[in-house]
Amino acid sequence: MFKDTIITATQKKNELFIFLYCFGGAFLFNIIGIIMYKSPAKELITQLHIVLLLSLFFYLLLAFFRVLIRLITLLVRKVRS
Amino acid sequence: MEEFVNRRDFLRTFSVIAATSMVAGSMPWLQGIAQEPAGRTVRLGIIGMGSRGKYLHLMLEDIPDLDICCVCDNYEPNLSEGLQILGPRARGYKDYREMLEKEQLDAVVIATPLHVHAHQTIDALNAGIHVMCEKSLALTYEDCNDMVRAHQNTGKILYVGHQRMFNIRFIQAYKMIREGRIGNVTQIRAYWHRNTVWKRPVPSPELERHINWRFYHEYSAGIMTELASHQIQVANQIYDEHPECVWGAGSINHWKDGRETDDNANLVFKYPGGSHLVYDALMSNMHHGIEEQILGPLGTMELEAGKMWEEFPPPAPGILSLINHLERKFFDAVPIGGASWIPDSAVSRKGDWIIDKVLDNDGSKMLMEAFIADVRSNRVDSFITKQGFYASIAALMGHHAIQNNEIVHWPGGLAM
Repeated sequence: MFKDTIITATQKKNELFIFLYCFGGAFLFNIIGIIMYKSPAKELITQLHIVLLLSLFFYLLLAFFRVLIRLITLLVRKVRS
Repeated sequence: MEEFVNRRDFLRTFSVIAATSMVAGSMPWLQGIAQEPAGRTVRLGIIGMGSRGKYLHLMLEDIPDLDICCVCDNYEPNLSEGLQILGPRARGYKDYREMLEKEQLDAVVIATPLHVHAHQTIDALNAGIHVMCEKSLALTYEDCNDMVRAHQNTGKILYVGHQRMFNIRFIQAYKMIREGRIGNVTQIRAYWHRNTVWKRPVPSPELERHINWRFYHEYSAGIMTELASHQIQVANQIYDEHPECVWGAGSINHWKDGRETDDNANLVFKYPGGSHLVYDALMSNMHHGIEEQILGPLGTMELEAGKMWEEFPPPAPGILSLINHLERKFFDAVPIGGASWIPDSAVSRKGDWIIDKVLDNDGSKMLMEAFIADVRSNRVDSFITKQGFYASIAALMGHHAIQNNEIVHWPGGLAM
């Protein structure tokens, strides 16, 4: 009934790197927030849960656009062929 | 049934408050209850076994080494009920003087109508008996004064039934205010709103004035002595002063059923230094209920709700502030011109609890525990007497301000 799918090691590595970029972006966001609002530097550690949530948000947002681009590319290829 | 805070829980919480407080020493009325019970049996009589008398008995009944040996009420149904509650060993009296004379009492609890408090209290004190008298003290300045003079002359305890002094939530708030958590208190707003006739059922018309004594000037000052006096006491304690003067208005605008005392009142009590207690009571709407709001430049407290709000709460973490900023930038409407003024909208934050809700109760039980503890150790402290005295005088001032439509000043020549 369900088709077996294979996620390759390269794909896993790619996804992990994408998430790491998202985490880096969210961490940078935290640094900007601390500088802009003159918050204590300890928020680099204490707000890690928010950073993690924000990186997940970035990752999902990115995933949405990646899926959208892939669908459009597939559609264009189908039309051309 | 409501769960009452027991002495052990109260002392445990109080010891935490006292341990972290520089102001514990300024709470002398709580020193007696903190002592270990000496074990001597206290013999107690209750004068007045109406609804309040029965409630106070409930607060007293599980105190160890306390013998509630007699009861007095000149209304037969109350006396019979009182004797039934107290059990077969108890003796009943219709005349309190006979009870004071025949019984070897250490203390009495007086829960009678306001106009008879004075002579009952004075007679008991002069007989060498400690007294816990329900608030307010009396119907006139002179009677209040005479009661306090009797306390001073005899050296006997005179407690007044201001249970908020023993409510752990109020004690914690008092401590926080003294520590400056909301800054100097600049205003207190208090209100008591009910939507009830406040009338007791009367078996025959000739008993109307006897049972519904709160409605008649001959026996009571109505809202002022029966409700406001509690909240005036809270304000006096927080300002650590008595009011200089009071003005206000009151009327009967809803319950036009033959009563003489007002069903609504609005007053301003002015304290030294220019701070006010803004007070109102209403018997025709219960939406806002009861509250004492303590306002200072650094925060606000609502003592009945048990909550406080800081004026300037600590800022949100930088990352959240940045997210909020971006969210507002993208999703908020863009103003065309700059606003010339910002509306002073009420703060909608949820606020913080003053103390754990588990210990929520009205303080009556601890008031009675403290009274018995002080009687047992013969510890006479005038702080609670002074609080009751000042609240009673201020309540009567409010009553006179409404009745005579004038500014009433604190009377001179008082005992305290």
